Amino acid sequence: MSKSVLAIIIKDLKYILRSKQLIALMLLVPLVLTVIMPSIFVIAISNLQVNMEDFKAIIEKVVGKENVELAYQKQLIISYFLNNILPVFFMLIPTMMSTIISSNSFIGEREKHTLETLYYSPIKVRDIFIAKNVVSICLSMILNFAVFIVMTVIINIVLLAVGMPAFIPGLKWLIVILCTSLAITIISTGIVVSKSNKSDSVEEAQQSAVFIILPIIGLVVGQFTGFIMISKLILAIASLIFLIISVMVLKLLSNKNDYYA
Amino acid sequence: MNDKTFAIKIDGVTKRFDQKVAVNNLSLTVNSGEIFGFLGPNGAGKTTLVKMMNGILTPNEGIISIEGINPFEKPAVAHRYMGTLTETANMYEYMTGEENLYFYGSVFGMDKAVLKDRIEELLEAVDLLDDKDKKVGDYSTGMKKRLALARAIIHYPKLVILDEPTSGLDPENARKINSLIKEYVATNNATVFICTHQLRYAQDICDRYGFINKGHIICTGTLSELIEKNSFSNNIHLKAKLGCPNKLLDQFKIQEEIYQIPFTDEEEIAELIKSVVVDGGKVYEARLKRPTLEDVYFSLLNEEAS
Repeated sequence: MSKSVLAIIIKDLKYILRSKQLIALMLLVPLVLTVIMPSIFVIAISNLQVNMEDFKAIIEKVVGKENVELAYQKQLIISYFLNNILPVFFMLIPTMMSTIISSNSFIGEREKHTLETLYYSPIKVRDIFIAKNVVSICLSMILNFAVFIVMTVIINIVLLAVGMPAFIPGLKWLIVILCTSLAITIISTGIVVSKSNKSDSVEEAQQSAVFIILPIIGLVVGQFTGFIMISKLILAIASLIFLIISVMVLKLLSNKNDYYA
Repeated sequence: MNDKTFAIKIDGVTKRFDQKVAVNNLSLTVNSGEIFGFLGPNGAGKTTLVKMMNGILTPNEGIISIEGINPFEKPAVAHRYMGTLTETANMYEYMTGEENLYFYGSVFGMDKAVLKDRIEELLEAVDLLDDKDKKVGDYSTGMKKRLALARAIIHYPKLVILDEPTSGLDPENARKINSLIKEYVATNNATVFICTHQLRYAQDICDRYGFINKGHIICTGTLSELIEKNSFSNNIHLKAKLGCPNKLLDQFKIQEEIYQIPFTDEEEIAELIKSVVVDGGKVYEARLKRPTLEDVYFSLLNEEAS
């Protein structure tokens, strides 16, 4: 990585971290989705007097019919939520964060007329593109990991309070946090930054991320309804393939960027 | 002569935006070490040419060579030799003057140790040392322009391209910018290409000129060459009350008691004043009026228009 690219990365990181509004915006939805909502869910389920028949079919699919009678059904519902539905949010969060950061990358500089000044420097447009992507991807993944740590701590406090067993993130979580979410972040960032170079507004650039976000939302719905079940093996293989594809797409997009659209 | 003897060589360059031809078959050379003034009205094509010289706009036809390098094929390489200041290329307003210079110096690959001294030297030269910790957003227009000039020359470029460096500035700041440019050229043996329509400042600083209108070159040369090529004459500006009617002087009357008489030899001036006095007239004012860049510029543009 050249000095010039590093200079742009450091400059952009400093700018983003200076903006309390931007940081608050990026953290708000993730904290609601992964800390507040699950905590409410855990408390609600542990205190609820409901007919479990509605959930029985879904749970039987996951743990096997013969195990349902032996286990606490409430524990199973909470465990199902924490290990099958919540991980999907951690694919959504870095995508949302990176969309916010990266949509502003070229447009923000173009609006302030600082992009032209960068163009007059001995740095290729491709390298500016890579720098913007690195900032967005790294920051999104670090924040994603930070939210994951906060979530684990808070959820375990809540589980302890309601007398439920502790939540220990398993292999599925590791795959999602380290591989799947990275692949999704790379591809959504690359698309949005590339669109940001050609768009006139932040909203226009952000719209391009909808093609990544919609399938993830579909996955959440599928997990909730029991329609889509993803095993650890399928998740691991799919994530690795997706990671390789996302890096290749990013490389392709980086070569397509030029000075003016 | 090969491309490397010229700092800039532009050959048959045309640039179209949809139906509009912004630059039309333009050819131009700028010698190494000279300060070249590129003059023309707004919308003439100056900024478009600057962007093509930087390789960030591609011409539809023609070739440009900057220090022997094609800026379209290798823009990043060409930029190492160039420093560009334009009206629309801003610096980061949330950063201080010093932080901006550090950033751009780093982008140009300068070492931290070298950069520290260079920034201090430049801030002193542009008279911004006391304001280095202020955010650029709080700078006045003149301060921003001076900082932009510092940014353009931070990496000791051999070619400096300045697009309207004095526009929006008061006379004091404009003079400061001009002396900075002259000093830079003198100490670094650099070439400067200035686009401007502020002719007074251009005449103060430039060695040679090129006039552009509606995307094409009208003429190029030093001021003396332009005057000679277009047959501009030196004049005597005379304010006098004539003692008796003078048909010769009447044809050069521009206002009541004011005459503008062309001459070729300075001896004619003395003869003219003598003749007025001998005829019983009174001479209130007599001065030489050599054609200025402004006279040449407007005359050429009017000729173009007609």
